[in-house]
Amino acid sequence: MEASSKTSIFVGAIFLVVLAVVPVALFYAGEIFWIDIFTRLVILAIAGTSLYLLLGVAGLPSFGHAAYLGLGAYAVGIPVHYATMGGAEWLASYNGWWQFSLAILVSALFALVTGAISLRTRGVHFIMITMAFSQMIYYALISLEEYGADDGLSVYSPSEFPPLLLDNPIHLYGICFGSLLLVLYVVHRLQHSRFGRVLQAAKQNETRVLASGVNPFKYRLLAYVMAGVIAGYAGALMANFSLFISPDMVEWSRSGELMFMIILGGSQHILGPLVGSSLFILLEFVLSRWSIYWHLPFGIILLLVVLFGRGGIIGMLRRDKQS
Amino acid sequence: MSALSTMGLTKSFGGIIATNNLDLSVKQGSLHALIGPNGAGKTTLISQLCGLLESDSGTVFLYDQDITSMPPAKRVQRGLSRTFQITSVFPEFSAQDNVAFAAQAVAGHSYRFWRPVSKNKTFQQQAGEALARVGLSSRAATSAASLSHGERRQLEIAMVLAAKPKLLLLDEPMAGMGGEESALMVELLQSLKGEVTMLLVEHDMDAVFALADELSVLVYGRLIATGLPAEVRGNPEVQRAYLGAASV
Ligand SMILES: Nc1ncnc2c1ncn2[C@@H]1O[C@H](COP(=O)(O)OP(=O)(O)OP(=O)(O)O)[C@@H](O)[C@H]1O
Ligand SMILES: [Mg+2]
Repeated sequence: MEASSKTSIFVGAIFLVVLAVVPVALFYAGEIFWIDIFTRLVILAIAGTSLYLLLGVAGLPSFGHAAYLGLGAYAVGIPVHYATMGGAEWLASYNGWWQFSLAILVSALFALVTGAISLRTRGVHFIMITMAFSQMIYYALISLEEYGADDGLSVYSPSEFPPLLLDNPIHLYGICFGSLLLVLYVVHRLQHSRFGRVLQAAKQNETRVLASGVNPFKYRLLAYVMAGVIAGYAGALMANFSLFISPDMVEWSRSGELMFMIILGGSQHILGPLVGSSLFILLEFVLSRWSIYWHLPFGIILLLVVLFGRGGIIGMLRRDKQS
Repeated sequence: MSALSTMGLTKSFGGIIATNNLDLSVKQGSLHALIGPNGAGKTTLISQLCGLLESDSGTVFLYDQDITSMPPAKRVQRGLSRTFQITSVFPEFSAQDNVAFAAQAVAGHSYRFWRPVSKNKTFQQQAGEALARVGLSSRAATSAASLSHGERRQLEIAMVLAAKPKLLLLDEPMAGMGGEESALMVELLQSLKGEVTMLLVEHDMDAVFALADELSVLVYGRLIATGLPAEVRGNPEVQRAYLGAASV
């Protein structure tokens, strides 16, 4: 136990130091391309960590988590769209506080309503219903001509948080990385709190939780809302990063990718999503240069990890240390 | 006074009537044993009493309160706890964390998001005491999945004790235990008598006659006898129904 948790802390510390130093150093060395890769990685890690709260801590395999990335992104894109094109004055704004508040509020509401329904089901039904709800968002977005439908929407100007400039890649990266640290810390605290214990217990043995005097439903719903809010926040960051958003962000395969990242990195450890998203980005980068059919080797690697490396990459590291 | 009683309690699964118009009364402070052949409906009854299974008709009273439609979690808060015939614990938690969770579960809501449970002195202390009581102190840090079958049964008892129940429903606590472990369990239940009212389902007749203040016999969902153990044992209908079925 001791040795394995030390390994995890060590691996985690290395990851975080690399993320803090390498992209910034490369940027100032003139390699400005890398900061984009790292920004995307960090945003995906934030979304992945929010899904970890559901999948890893509460054992709830949500297959619609990309919906929140989309909701958060459009909560930035739509106010910018109106501020640029005119119309909908109550909504139109370049102000980041307004856009991010909107992202959080919309995500929380969507999670509250869909969670209240989805959490009455279990297992495969839960997977299907969460996926169905996110497909609803997908179809809503591709039918909204006003916001570009399936052509997507350009975000003409990033969120304004004076004095920070989100069109400065270093500022944006700093915000994303700082957000990741904060999210990791918050989820870590949640996991070990009384609240987190209810989620973990209900994941292992729901009947015993009921027979111990707690109905886990409301705790799960709250976790569902929290995870939605964090993912919505990640979506708002994503809009600022890519400056172009489209319904593709919400497609079910995106939710699948998030799930894969966690399983790849290790769903039983808080740093699993970070490790998984790093590997995902790395593999995507390497394999996509090698072949346009990069999804195939990617799928094979994932399959191998799932089959032989139960507990993902982190799980393998921990086991090595134990044996 | 009866701590727990039912009136006309019924439950059927398709064509099988598992609980048939049952009137049962468990006296405050007593250990009431419930015996009956396999499939008699003992587990079904316990699940109805604790609320995990909804009854078709009839009433359940906890002291003077009608709890028939009270959700299971609330019944635990009122002092009614149960153990399961098939051990039910949290396999990934350590023994200590299993019991600490049981203590947490009855200590008000769990909307506490920041402080680690491991730093909660009350829960940890209650867990330590309950583990000591069942003789598992040395295994506190072991995950429940790595405990032996007998130890997991003891752990489950520690969990219900941490909930400080007034009334305990025990579904075959000695099932699958060796002779020595069974003897320890009998000793433990003996030590709980007077402190907490118990309804004990058990196939081990030595244990039943060593512990029971009152004895009821359930056959095909009906109580065919209830009373002092010595009286019930002599009842010819019991001997016919129970011994007959048990020898199959
Ligand atoms: N969920 C269920 N669905 C259908 N039938 C059930 C269900 N639970 C129990 N039964 C049936 O109800 C009857 C009573 O079962 P129960 O488990 O309560 O018996 P028991 O007295 O606890 O038996 P044992 O001594 O084997 O534990 C049996 O015929 C059983 O098959
Ligand atoms: Mg039974």
